[in-house]
Amino acid sequence: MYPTPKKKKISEITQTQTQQTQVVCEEDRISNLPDEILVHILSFLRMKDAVRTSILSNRWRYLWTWNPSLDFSCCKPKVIDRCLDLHKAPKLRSFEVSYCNTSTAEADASNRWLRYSATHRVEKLLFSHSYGYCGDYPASLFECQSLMQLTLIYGKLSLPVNFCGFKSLVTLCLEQVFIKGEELCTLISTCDQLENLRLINCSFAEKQLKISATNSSLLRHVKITSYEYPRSFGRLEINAPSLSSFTCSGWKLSLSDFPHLYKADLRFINWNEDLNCWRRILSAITCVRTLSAGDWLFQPKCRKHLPVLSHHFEFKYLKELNVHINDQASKDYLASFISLLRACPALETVCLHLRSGLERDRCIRYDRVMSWLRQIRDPVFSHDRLTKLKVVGFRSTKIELLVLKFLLEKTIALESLILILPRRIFKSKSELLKNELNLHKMNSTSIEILHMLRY
Amino acid sequence: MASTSNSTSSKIITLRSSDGEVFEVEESVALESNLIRRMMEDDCANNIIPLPNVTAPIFYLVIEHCKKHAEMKDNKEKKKELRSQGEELLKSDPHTYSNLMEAVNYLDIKSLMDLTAQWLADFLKGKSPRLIRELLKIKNDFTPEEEAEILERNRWAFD
Repeated sequence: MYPTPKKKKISEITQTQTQQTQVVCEEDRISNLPDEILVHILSFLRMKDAVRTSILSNRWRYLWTWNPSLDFSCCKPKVIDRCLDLHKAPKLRSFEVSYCNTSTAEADASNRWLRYSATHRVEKLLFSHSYGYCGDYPASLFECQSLMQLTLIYGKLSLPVNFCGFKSLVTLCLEQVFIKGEELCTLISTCDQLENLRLINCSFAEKQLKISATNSSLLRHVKITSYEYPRSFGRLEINAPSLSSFTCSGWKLSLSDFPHLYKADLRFINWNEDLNCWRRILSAITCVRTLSAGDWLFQPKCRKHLPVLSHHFEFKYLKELNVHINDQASKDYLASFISLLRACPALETVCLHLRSGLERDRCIRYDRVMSWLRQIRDPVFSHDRLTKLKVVGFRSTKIELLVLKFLLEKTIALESLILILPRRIFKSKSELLKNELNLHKMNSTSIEILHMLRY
Repeated sequence: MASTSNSTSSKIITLRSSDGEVFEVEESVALESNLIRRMMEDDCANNIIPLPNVTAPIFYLVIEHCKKHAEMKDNKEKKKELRSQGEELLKSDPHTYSNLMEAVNYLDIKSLMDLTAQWLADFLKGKSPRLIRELLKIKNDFTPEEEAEILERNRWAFD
């Protein structure tokens, strides 16, 4: 795997190495590196740090002007203009601008810089307006036809009438950008090479958004989030046959089937929806390997159906399950959660995040939960592949203890158990907890009981 | 260092450094180098591949880092650790650093090129020009007037 010097041992090699360096250590070898290497090094620096190297020596004085990656984070417009005047690299690999304050000159200046990026065939562009800015992006943005990666933050994006797509664009990220839904659709459908799409808290003119990719589309990774409260969730329809990872929060979803989906992160979606929508989502994501889900999975209208549905639905390939329970939990929650586990035969890792604890609901009667758990203790159901179990926000209430005991019974191959308690705990308490759960008997399992620093 | 490999199926490639040392490297590691890849494609792989621009100690460093880089692919902590090693090397031995950089450039290994460049970039960040010159033995060949002029023109960068 690694080289085996046939004659010399490594210790001898390192010896000769130090001898050599002692002889010539007074020489400045770094400045003697070829231009292309030094410029490559400068491309890892922000503009400010790159320009600072010009004072080192004559060798370094103009090196930065050949830097193909320009990162103007928090630079004043004047500074950017001056640097671009001196800049000599024929081609731009990346160009990043982020403002610190808004001024009226912005529109003009942005236009100038984007035109510069376009003529220098920029590949990666990040343009961040200042907070709350809602002016249009200049038309010269659409001249950047060599773009492979585009990130826009704040501002308003309107496509020109005859726009026919960024032909090489692979990654598109819009953050808090205003764009009309139909124009977004045009943008997505005209960029043939698009693989990654991230829409972070953008505003759309409509309450309904439809993202529809063709059968030949390469769109693989989609992340869409919104700030909306559950009551004003917009409706999002996605049709992307090659989708492989999907993250969404803040929308009501209608999904088509995703035969290649391996990762879904749907924490905060479809609040208070009817049973059909809920069923539709479940059936669209049945082939995932990793699933993160929130309360929607157990919402009141659908809760009682999950046990029934789990006979029909099977998450055959699911290996990692993260469940976030924010709402006050009740017996029904537990029932649905355990039914869900039954529908996932290949599970390896389960992580349960509890926000308000499993006993807030005073109506739960402890004895009822007991009897219910007893009912479902059927010997057939056990997880022999489940090796990691983690509970975050474990308050060790009676019901939580009961559920955990139940889970420990069902997971015969457990290798690691992590409990994260919301408050600081003392050693005696953690011993108590271990006794209560019979953890001392589990010799082959590594057990960690931690507490959260900020919860 | 010991090269008892589990996957016996993988091919071993023999390379010779400029000072005559012979190295046996697994094909998957050797192909990280675009130079070696091109040589193999041109079918010079059946013999020992000579590397006239790389000495044995430097080649050893290159391979070691190739291996580490492959290991850390999904490991953020290791990534951090590897990234922080540059500071040490540049402070104690800038000479070896430039040799390593030249070798990586010659062998055309993209991942290591970025890693070693990142080392120097991190090293340059936040240090005063004076300290950088001292540590890297860079000779200040500006006249005081020239230096003042550069400072004045780029005042924004030095504030």
